[in-house]
Amino acid sequence: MLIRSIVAMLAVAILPAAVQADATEGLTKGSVELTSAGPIAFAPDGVLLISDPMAATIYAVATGDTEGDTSSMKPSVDDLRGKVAAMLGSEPQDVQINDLAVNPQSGNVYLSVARGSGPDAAALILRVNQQGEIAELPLKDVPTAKATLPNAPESAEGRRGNPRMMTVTDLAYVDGRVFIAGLSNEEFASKLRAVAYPFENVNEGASVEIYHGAHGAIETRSPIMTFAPYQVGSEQHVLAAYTCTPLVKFRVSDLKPGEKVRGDTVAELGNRNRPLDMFVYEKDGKSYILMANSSRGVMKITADNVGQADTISEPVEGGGTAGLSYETVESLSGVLQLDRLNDSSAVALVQAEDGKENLRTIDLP
Amino acid sequence: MKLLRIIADEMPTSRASVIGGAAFAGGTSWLRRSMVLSGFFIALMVSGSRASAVEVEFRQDAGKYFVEASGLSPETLEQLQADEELKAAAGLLQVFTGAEGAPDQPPLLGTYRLDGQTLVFEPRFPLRPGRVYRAVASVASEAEATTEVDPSKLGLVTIFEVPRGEQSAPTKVEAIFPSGDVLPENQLKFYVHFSAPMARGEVYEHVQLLNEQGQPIDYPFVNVGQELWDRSGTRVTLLLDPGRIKRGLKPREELGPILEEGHSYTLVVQESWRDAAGHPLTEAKRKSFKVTAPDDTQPDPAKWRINRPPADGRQPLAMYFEEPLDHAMLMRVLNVVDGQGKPVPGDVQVGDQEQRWSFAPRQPWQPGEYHIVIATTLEDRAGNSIERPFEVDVFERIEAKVTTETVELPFRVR
Repeated sequence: MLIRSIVAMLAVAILPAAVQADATEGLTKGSVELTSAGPIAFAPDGVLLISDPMAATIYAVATGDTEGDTSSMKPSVDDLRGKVAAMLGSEPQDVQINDLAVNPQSGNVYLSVARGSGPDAAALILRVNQQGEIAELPLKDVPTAKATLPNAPESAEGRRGNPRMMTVTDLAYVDGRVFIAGLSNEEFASKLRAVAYPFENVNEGASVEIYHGAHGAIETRSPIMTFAPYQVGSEQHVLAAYTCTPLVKFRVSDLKPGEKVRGDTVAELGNRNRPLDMFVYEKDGKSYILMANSSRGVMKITADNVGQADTISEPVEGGGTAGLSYETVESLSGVLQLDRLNDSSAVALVQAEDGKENLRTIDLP
Repeated sequence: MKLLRIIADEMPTSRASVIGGAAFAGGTSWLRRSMVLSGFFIALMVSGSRASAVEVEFRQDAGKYFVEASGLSPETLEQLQADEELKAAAGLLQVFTGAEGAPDQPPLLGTYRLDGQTLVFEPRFPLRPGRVYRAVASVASEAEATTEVDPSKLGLVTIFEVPRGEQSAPTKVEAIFPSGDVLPENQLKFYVHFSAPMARGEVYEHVQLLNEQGQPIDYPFVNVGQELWDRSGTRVTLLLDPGRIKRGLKPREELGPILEEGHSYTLVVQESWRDAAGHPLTEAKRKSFKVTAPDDTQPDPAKWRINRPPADGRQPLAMYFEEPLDHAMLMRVLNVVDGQGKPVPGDVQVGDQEQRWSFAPRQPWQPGEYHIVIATTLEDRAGNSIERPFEVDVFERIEAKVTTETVELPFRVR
């Protein structure tokens, strides 16, 4: 019988989640110099988590942006990428918006941005307010903390510096820990890590290696593309999406030192596809997952049954789908980045037919 | 809105269209003569309700461009000096990308300072060679200047093209690893090295894997959104989709394996790929290879042969592997330590299609004990590491468990 399963092995102990009165506690004043800007996510109290893949480092920065009424907000910016390029003195093709995160406390939209390449390369965080004004997030003399990922690049050797980096595909704050999915550009190290926030014990953070298994016994290690925390009853889970597109759930409490943990594939969402961004939301008393994809549009996945969902244990033929039911939201096409804004809407970076990338507020379907 | 006159004698004809398209606001009162910078054109078009002596200049200092506004009125200076944060500065001078832009185009990021009686704008990022920028100074009513720029108050537009500087040598593909032309069916990755930094964000548009018929294979590489560049932007990692290497996985069932034993393939890096300066490569690069049986065995340091160097010289230490190993990791994860465990500084070379690693010490070898320290993450071409095979059969095969992070191979110099 074919079994699709995910086995997770814990390499290092997960520390118990620290109880934080305020997420800005434990941060000390300092300056962050980004060498690159990858995925970003918000922790509580306006603290922004910024990944710097080239330096294999995660920064926490208190933005001080903690006030606002998110319920009334509808951010919208035409040609966001073009505007960002203009601010950086560049052309749109030399600028990448690597991620988008909404500050749940203020409703302001944060962008992780890279300009250029090589010696000219620059990375920064931009903030878009409700008027659509774009400004740089200051990273000088701000309350901050950093976590250097285990097995970070060794000290620089040679003229060009150390070539190894850890691409971060996604990160999220879950109950006092920061979960980080990543992939190296050298050794095949596809990992999901958990680091206690605010990083006081970096080296003892957990490193969870995920094996993407099939065919009964063969394990392999596919990188997690995006993931989201999801509470099932009183149990904290992580829902992780892989390329081609299994959706897998892990129980966070199962991740114990030295034990192999089976994650369950709860949906098969189709092939030739890369999940881009996802989050969980509630509507009319039901839970859903909204997921943006590279080639299968935006999916609204019924999540109420995640807790009871059977593991998919038979092969899914012909590029088909199985497991949790979903619908493709036809009205949303070209979504590149996605984050939840409030109970009824999300913010998306949407590529229009003319190629321009616009920031839009969309109603949750 | 009307363009009064173009200073034709200072402007190459080819630039006229750029200037002609510039956006000017307000009425038409007078025209100022431009400042000429290092042989490149600059044009000032002024309009506004009131004349002013404000002059705007793009100035280069230590390789960096600044924009300076001088000739500010005493009232303006007083207003600026009264506020340490120079909040009013953005109402007086703003710099934009391009010779023209939409009304809602945001200005360049940057900071302002007062240098004597001159207002200086320092762009947050260096202005780019070959690009055109425009500075817009308010000369209409300085007293009314606020942090909000009102187009009706704009007067002085200065357009500047950053000199291209020395044309650097065209960029080319320097190497592709693995360098061998016979690869295992479960080959995991390629490294493409360039002679100069490359543009980001277009890897998968410019690299193809062709089958024997010359047809591109669909989706051969894992696209994780971000590209797997090194810090210098001169090396990119192309990861073959592990889902299509592994047996029994859905992607492989549906799309078929990427590489099959007995067949030949060609990796093509297209000429159209742009370097960081925006120029295409000098030529396309093709790497053809034959595919042989999958490699499921782990690298085994016990099988490696060491060529010990003699004492008192700097002859390289050489080590030979039973199979080609990962080029990038060979350059990084092997170190030599002396009898006290102290690292020996030296230079690494990898050769013989990644089956030879050599290490030349910077100081002559001393007689005595040394160790080669090898990270167990070191992989072969199929991703099998010293630590674990790439593919693990959890029920049938007992995983050869290596718990240490390094293995050491001792050798003695005499």
